[in-house]
Amino acid sequence: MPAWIRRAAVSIAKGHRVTLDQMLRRPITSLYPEEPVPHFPGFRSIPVLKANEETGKLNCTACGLCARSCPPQIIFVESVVGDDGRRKQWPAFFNLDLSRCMVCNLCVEACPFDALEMSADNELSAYDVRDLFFNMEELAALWKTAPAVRIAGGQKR
Amino acid sequence: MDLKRRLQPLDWREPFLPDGRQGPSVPEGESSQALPPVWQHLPGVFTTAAQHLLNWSRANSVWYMTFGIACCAIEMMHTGGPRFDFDRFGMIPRASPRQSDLMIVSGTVTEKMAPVIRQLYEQMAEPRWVIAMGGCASNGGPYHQGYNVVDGVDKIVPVDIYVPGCPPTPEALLHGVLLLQAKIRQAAAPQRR
Repeated sequence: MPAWIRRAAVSIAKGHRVTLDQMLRRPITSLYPEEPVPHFPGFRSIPVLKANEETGKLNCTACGLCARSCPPQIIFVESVVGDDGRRKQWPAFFNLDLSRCMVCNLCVEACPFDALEMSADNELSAYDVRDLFFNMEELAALWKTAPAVRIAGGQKR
Repeated sequence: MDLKRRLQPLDWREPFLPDGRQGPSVPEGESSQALPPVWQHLPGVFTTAAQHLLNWSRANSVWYMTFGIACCAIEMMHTGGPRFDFDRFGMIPRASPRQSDLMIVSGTVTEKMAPVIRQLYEQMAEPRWVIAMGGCASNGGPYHQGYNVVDGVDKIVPVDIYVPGCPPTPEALLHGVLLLQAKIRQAAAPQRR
Protein backbone atom coordinates (compact mmCIF):
# COMPACT_ATOMS: atom_id res chain seq x y z
CA MET A 1 0.00 0.00 0.00
CA PRO A 2 1.45 3.33 -0.95
CA ALA A 3 2.25 5.67 1.88
CA TRP A 4 -0.07 8.41 0.70
CA ILE A 5 -3.08 6.10 0.82
CA ARG A 6 -2.20 5.16 4.39
CA ARG A 7 -1.82 8.78 5.36
CA ALA A 8 -5.17 9.68 3.80
CA ALA A 9 -6.92 6.81 5.56
CA VAL A 10 -5.46 7.81 8.91
CA SER A 11 -6.49 11.41 8.49
CA ILE A 12 -10.05 10.44 7.53
CA ALA A 13 -10.24 8.15 10.56
CA LYS A 14 -9.07 10.99 12.80
CA GLY A 15 -11.76 13.26 11.45
CA HIS A 16 -14.44 10.67 11.98
CA ARG A 17 -13.17 10.12 15.50
CA VAL A 18 -13.77 13.79 16.28
CA THR A 19 -17.24 13.63 14.73
CA LEU A 20 -18.09 10.53 16.76
CA ASP A 21 -16.91 12.16 19.98
CA GLN A 22 -19.10 15.16 19.37
CA MET A 23 -22.07 12.96 18.51
CA LEU A 24 -21.82 10.98 21.72
CA ARG A 25 -21.36 14.05 23.92
CA ARG A 26 -24.21 15.32 26.06
CA PRO A 27 -25.97 18.36 24.57
CA ILE A 28 -25.03 21.63 26.22
CA THR A 29 -28.12 23.58 25.22
CA SER A 30 -29.91 24.93 28.27
CA LEU A 31 -33.69 24.70 27.94
CA TYR A 32 -34.16 28.21 29.25
CA PRO A 33 -37.90 28.87 29.53
CA GLU A 34 -38.55 25.45 31.02
CA GLU A 35 -35.47 25.20 33.22
CA PRO A 36 -33.79 28.08 35.06
CA VAL A 37 -30.27 28.92 34.03
CA PRO A 38 -27.76 28.36 36.86
CA HIS A 39 -25.80 31.49 37.68
CA PHE A 40 -22.17 31.62 38.56
CA PRO A 41 -21.28 33.03 41.99
CA GLY A 42 -21.03 36.78 41.81
CA PHE A 43 -23.55 37.13 39.00
CA ARG A 44 -25.47 40.36 39.41
CA SER A 45 -28.27 42.07 37.58
CA ILE A 46 -29.99 44.94 39.43
CA PRO A 47 -29.48 46.78 42.74
CA VAL A 48 -32.40 46.27 45.12
CA LEU A 49 -33.23 47.78 48.49
CA LYS A 50 -32.68 45.65 51.55
CA ALA A 51 -34.97 45.77 54.55
CA ASN A 52 -34.39 44.81 58.13
CA GLU A 53 -35.67 41.28 58.52
CA GLU A 54 -36.94 41.86 62.04
CA THR A 55 -38.60 45.25 61.78
CA GLY A 56 -39.37 45.17 58.06
CA LYS A 57 -38.09 48.70 57.55
CA LEU A 58 -35.65 49.67 54.86
CA ASN A 59 -32.02 50.07 55.82
CA CYS A 60 -31.74 53.13 53.59
CA THR A 61 -31.07 56.43 55.36
CA ALA A 62 -31.20 58.58 52.21
CA CYS A 63 -27.61 59.75 52.57
CA GLY A 64 -27.23 59.90 48.79
CA LEU A 65 -23.83 58.25 48.55
CA CYS A 66 -25.16 55.71 46.05
CA ALA A 67 -26.54 58.50 43.86
CA ARG A 68 -23.16 60.23 43.95
CA SER A 69 -21.21 57.09 43.09
CA CYS A 70 -23.49 56.05 40.23
CA PRO A 71 -21.67 56.59 36.92
CA PRO A 72 -24.80 56.88 34.70
CA GLN A 73 -26.58 58.86 37.48
CA ILE A 74 -29.75 56.82 37.58
CA ILE A 75 -30.39 56.78 41.33
CA PHE A 76 -32.71 59.52 42.58
CA VAL A 77 -33.01 59.62 46.37
CA GLU A 78 -34.27 62.31 48.71
CA SER A 79 -34.85 62.23 52.45
CA VAL A 80 -38.04 63.01 54.30
CA VAL A 81 -38.35 66.53 55.70
CA GLY A 82 -40.20 66.49 59.00
CA ASP A 83 -42.61 69.02 60.44
CA ASP A 84 -39.77 70.75 62.28
CA GLY A 85 -37.96 71.36 59.04
CA ARG A 86 -35.18 68.88 59.72
CA ARG A 87 -34.33 66.02 57.47
CA LYS A 88 -35.15 62.55 58.71
CA GLN A 89 -33.08 59.48 58.05
CA TRP A 90 -35.72 57.96 55.88
CA PRO A 91 -36.06 58.17 52.10
CA ALA A 92 -39.00 60.09 50.74
CA PHE A 93 -38.37 58.41 47.40
CA PHE A 94 -35.74 56.15 45.99
CA ASN A 95 -36.06 55.82 42.24
CA LEU A 96 -33.90 53.74 39.95
CA ASP A 97 -33.93 53.93 36.17
CA LEU A 98 -32.95 50.39 35.29
CA SER A 99 -32.94 51.06 31.57
CA ARG A 100 -29.67 52.94 32.02
CA CYS A 101 -28.17 50.81 34.78
CA MET A 102 -24.72 49.49 33.91
CA VAL A 103 -24.65 46.91 36.75
CA CYS A 104 -21.32 48.15 38.06
CA ASN A 105 -21.94 47.39 41.78
CA LEU A 106 -20.53 50.80 42.78
CA CYS A 107 -23.71 51.81 44.62
CA VAL A 108 -23.49 48.70 46.77
CA GLU A 109 -19.86 49.38 47.55
CA ALA A 110 -20.59 52.99 48.43
CA CYS A 111 -23.48 52.23 50.79
CA PRO A 112 -22.33 52.45 54.45
CA PHE A 113 -25.61 51.13 55.88
CA ASP A 114 -25.90 47.83 54.00
CA ALA A 115 -29.09 49.03 52.37
CA LEU A 116 -28.42 47.98 48.80
CA GLU A 117 -27.78 44.56 47.38
CA MET A 118 -27.31 43.22 43.90
CA SER A 119 -30.01 40.84 42.80
CA ALA A 120 -29.62 38.04 40.30
CA ASP A 121 -33.05 38.50 38.71
CA ASN A 122 -32.46 39.35 35.08
CA GLU A 123 -35.85 38.59 33.54
CA LEU A 124 -36.77 42.25 33.45
CA SER A 125 -37.73 42.94 29.85
CA ALA A 126 -40.62 45.33 29.34
CA TYR A 127 -42.95 46.53 26.63
CA ASP A 128 -42.39 50.14 27.62
CA VAL A 129 -39.21 51.84 28.72
CA ARG A 130 -41.15 53.54 31.50
CA ASP A 131 -41.80 50.14 33.05
CA LEU A 132 -38.08 49.96 33.81
CA PHE A 133 -38.31 52.91 36.20
CA PHE A 134 -38.50 51.42 39.68
CA ASN A 135 -39.59 53.18 42.83
CA MET A 136 -38.85 52.32 46.44
CA GLU A 137 -41.67 49.85 46.99
CA GLU A 138 -40.89 47.92 43.82
CA LEU A 139 -37.21 47.68 44.67
CA ALA A 140 -38.05 46.40 48.14
CA ALA A 141 -40.45 43.87 46.65
CA LEU A 142 -37.76 42.75 44.22
CA TRP A 143 -35.43 42.15 47.16
CA LYS A 144 -37.99 39.81 48.69
CA THR A 145 -38.76 37.86 45.54
CA ALA A 146 -35.56 37.80 43.53
CA PRO A 147 -32.54 35.65 44.32
CA ALA A 148 -29.79 37.76 45.80
CA VAL A 149 -26.09 37.27 45.40
CA ARG A 150 -23.12 37.95 47.60
CA ILE A 151 -20.24 39.67 45.92
CA ALA A 152 -16.80 39.83 47.43
CA GLY A 153 -16.32 43.45 46.44
CA GLY A 154 -19.64 44.48 47.91
CA GLN A 155 -19.20 43.04 51.37
CA LYS A 156 -18.55 45.31 54.27
CA ARG A 157 -15.01 45.71 55.44
CA MET B 1 -46.14 50.36 36.85
CA ASP B 2 -47.79 47.20 38.02
CA LEU B 3 -45.04 45.14 39.56
CA LYS B 4 -47.12 42.00 39.73
CA ARG B 5 -47.76 42.11 36.04
CA ARG B 6 -44.11 42.70 35.31
CA LEU B 7 -43.00 39.81 37.48
CA GLN B 8 -45.36 37.51 35.60
CA PRO B 9 -44.83 38.88 32.15
CA LEU B 10 -46.28 36.02 30.15
CA ASP B 11 -49.74 36.73 31.61
CA TRP B 12 -49.90 39.69 29.35
CA ARG B 13 -53.53 40.65 28.88
CA GLU B 14 -53.68 43.76 26.81
CA PRO B 15 -53.01 43.10 23.15
CA PHE B 16 -51.46 45.73 20.99
CA LEU B 17 -52.14 46.42 17.38
CA PRO B 18 -49.08 46.48 15.14
CA ASP B 19 -49.07 50.26 14.95
CA GLY B 20 -49.12 50.68 18.72
CA ARG B 21 -52.82 51.29 19.32
CA GLN B 22 -54.56 49.49 22.12
CA GLY B 23 -56.50 46.49 20.95
CA PRO B 24 -59.54 44.85 22.53
CA SER B 25 -58.59 43.65 25.98
CA VAL B 26 -59.17 40.10 27.13
CA PRO B 27 -61.92 39.93 29.77
CA GLU B 28 -60.75 39.65 33.36
CA GLY B 29 -60.51 36.13 34.67
CA GLU B 30 -59.70 34.49 31.37
CA SER B 31 -56.31 33.28 30.38
CA SER B 32 -54.35 35.44 28.01
CA GLN B 33 -53.90 32.48 25.72
CA ALA B 34 -57.66 31.87 25.45
CA LEU B 35 -59.53 33.06 22.42
CA PRO B 36 -62.01 35.87 22.94
CA PRO B 37 -65.68 34.86 22.85
CA VAL B 38 -66.68 34.21 19.28
CA TRP B 39 -70.03 35.93 19.55
CA GLN B 40 -68.30 39.26 20.05
CA HIS B 41 -66.50 38.88 16.75
CA LEU B 42 -69.19 37.11 14.76
CA PRO B 43 -68.71 39.13 11.56
CA GLY B 44 -65.02 38.23 11.55
CA VAL B 45 -65.11 34.56 12.45
CA PHE B 46 -63.16 33.35 9.48
CA THR B 47 -60.70 36.22 9.41
CA THR B 48 -60.11 35.81 13.15
CA ALA B 49 -59.20 32.17 12.68
CA ALA B 50 -56.91 33.11 9.82
CA GLN B 51 -55.34 35.81 11.96
CA HIS B 52 -54.64 33.33 14.74
CA LEU B 53 -53.00 31.03 12.23
CA LEU B 54 -50.93 33.94 10.91
CA ASN B 55 -49.93 35.00 14.40
CA TRP B 56 -48.94 31.47 15.31
CA SER B 57 -46.75 31.14 12.25
CA ARG B 58 -45.24 34.59 12.67
CA ALA B 59 -44.44 34.07 16.33
CA ASN B 60 -42.62 30.84 15.64
CA SER B 61 -40.52 32.03 12.71
CA VAL B 62 -39.08 35.36 13.79
CA TRP B 63 -36.05 35.80 11.60
CA TYR B 64 -33.78 38.42 13.01
CA MET B 65 -31.33 40.70 11.29
CA THR B 66 -27.72 40.40 12.34
CA PHE B 67 -27.33 43.98 13.44
CA GLY B 68 -24.69 44.30 16.11
CA ILE B 69 -23.30 47.77 16.62
CA ALA B 70 -21.53 47.45 19.99
CA CYS B 71 -20.64 45.08 22.79
CA CYS B 72 -24.22 43.81 23.21
CA ALA B 73 -23.72 42.06 19.88
CA ILE B 74 -21.37 39.65 21.63
CA GLU B 75 -24.21 38.54 23.88
CA MET B 76 -26.53 38.36 20.89
CA MET B 77 -24.06 36.04 19.15
CA HIS B 78 -23.83 34.04 22.37
CA THR B 79 -27.60 33.71 22.40
CA GLY B 80 -27.55 32.46 18.84
CA GLY B 81 -24.88 29.93 19.73
CA PRO B 82 -25.34 26.35 20.89
CA ARG B 83 -25.78 27.07 24.60
CA PHE B 84 -28.85 29.31 24.32
CA ASP B 85 -30.16 28.26 20.97
CA PHE B 86 -32.17 30.79 19.00
CA ASP B 87 -33.14 28.03 16.59
CA ARG B 88 -35.31 26.48 19.28
CA PHE B 89 -37.70 29.41 18.73
CA GLY B 90 -37.44 29.30 14.96
CA MET B 91 -35.15 32.32 14.87
CA ILE B 92 -32.59 32.34 12.11
CA PRO B 93 -30.09 35.13 11.49
CA ARG B 94 -30.57 36.93 8.21
CA ALA B 95 -28.02 39.25 6.71
CA SER B 96 -30.55 41.13 4.63
CA PRO B 97 -33.29 43.43 5.96
CA ARG B 98 -35.60 42.28 3.18
CA GLN B 99 -35.77 38.78 4.64
CA SER B 100 -35.89 39.62 8.32
CA ASP B 101 -38.83 40.25 10.65
CA LEU B 102 -36.98 41.42 13.74
CA MET B 103 -34.20 43.91 14.28
CA ILE B 104 -32.28 43.47 17.52
CA VAL B 105 -30.60 46.83 18.01
CA SER B 106 -27.71 45.69 20.16
CA GLY B 107 -25.48 48.54 21.15
CA THR B 108 -24.92 52.25 21.27
CA VAL B 109 -26.72 54.20 18.58
CA THR B 110 -24.56 57.07 17.42
CA GLU B 111 -25.69 60.04 15.41
CA LYS B 112 -23.79 58.73 12.44
CA MET B 113 -25.45 55.30 12.64
CA ALA B 114 -28.98 56.61 13.20
CA PRO B 115 -29.97 57.26 9.56
CA VAL B 116 -28.60 53.85 8.63
CA ILE B 117 -30.78 52.21 11.25
CA ARG B 118 -33.81 54.09 9.97
CA GLN B 119 -33.04 53.06 6.38
CA LEU B 120 -32.61 49.42 7.35
CA TYR B 121 -35.85 49.52 9.30
CA GLU B 122 -37.70 50.91 6.32
CA GLN B 123 -36.24 48.22 4.11
CA MET B 124 -37.69 45.49 6.29
CA ALA B 125 -41.00 44.02 5.15
CA GLU B 126 -44.04 44.39 7.38
CA PRO B 127 -44.86 43.08 9.89
CA ARG B 128 -41.61 44.01 11.56
CA TRP B 129 -40.50 44.27 15.14
CA VAL B 130 -37.64 45.91 16.98
CA ILE B 131 -35.95 44.88 20.21
CA ALA B 132 -33.86 47.52 21.99
CA MET B 133 -31.19 45.41 23.64
CA GLY B 134 -29.22 46.90 26.49
CA GLY B 135 -29.14 50.25 28.19
CA CYS B 136 -27.62 52.15 25.28
CA ALA B 137 -30.32 51.17 22.82
CA SER B 138 -33.08 51.64 25.41
CA ASN B 139 -32.19 54.99 26.89
CA GLY B 140 -28.67 56.03 26.00
CA GLY B 141 -27.09 53.98 28.75
CA PRO B 142 -23.89 55.26 30.32
CA TYR B 143 -23.38 57.47 27.26
CA HIS B 144 -26.65 59.38 27.55
CA GLN B 145 -24.73 62.64 27.92
CA GLY B 146 -22.49 61.95 24.96
CA TYR B 147 -22.41 64.55 22.23
CA ASN B 148 -22.79 61.98 19.49
CA VAL B 149 -25.08 59.40 21.07
CA VAL B 150 -28.80 59.05 20.40
CA ASP B 151 -30.63 58.64 23.71
CA GLY B 152 -32.44 55.48 22.81
CA VAL B 153 -33.24 53.90 19.50
CA ASP B 154 -36.93 54.62 20.11
CA LYS B 155 -36.26 58.16 18.92
CA ILE B 156 -35.61 56.70 15.47
CA VAL B 157 -37.71 53.56 15.10
CA PRO B 158 -40.67 52.21 17.12
CA VAL B 159 -39.44 49.71 19.69
CA ASP B 160 -41.47 46.72 20.84
CA ILE B 161 -39.36 45.22 23.64
CA TYR B 162 -36.84 46.88 25.93
CA VAL B 163 -34.26 44.52 27.40
CA PRO B 164 -32.34 46.07 30.31
CA GLY B 165 -28.80 45.15 31.19
CA CYS B 166 -25.29 46.19 30.34
CA PRO B 167 -25.06 43.95 28.40
CA PRO B 168 -28.11 41.73 28.92
CA THR B 169 -27.37 38.10 29.57
CA PRO B 170 -28.56 35.60 26.96
CA GLU B 171 -31.46 34.49 29.13
CA ALA B 172 -32.51 38.13 29.50
CA LEU B 173 -32.57 38.48 25.73
CA LEU B 174 -34.45 35.20 25.42
CA HIS B 175 -36.97 36.53 27.94
CA GLY B 176 -37.43 39.57 25.74
CA VAL B 177 -37.93 37.32 22.73
CA LEU B 178 -40.57 35.34 24.62
CA LEU B 179 -42.36 38.60 25.44
CA LEU B 180 -42.20 39.53 21.77
CA GLN B 181 -43.70 36.18 20.80
CA ALA B 182 -46.53 36.77 23.27
CA LYS B 183 -47.08 40.17 21.69
CA ILE B 184 -47.11 38.72 18.18
CA ARG B 185 -49.64 36.08 19.22
CA GLN B 186 -51.93 38.80 20.57
CA ALA B 187 -51.86 40.90 17.43
CA ALA B 188 -55.29 41.70 16.04
CA ALA B 189 -56.26 41.71 12.41
CA PRO B 190 -55.35 44.87 10.55
CA GLN B 191 -58.27 47.22 10.14
CA ARG B 192 -59.47 48.43 6.79
CA ARG B 193 -58.38 51.99 6.16
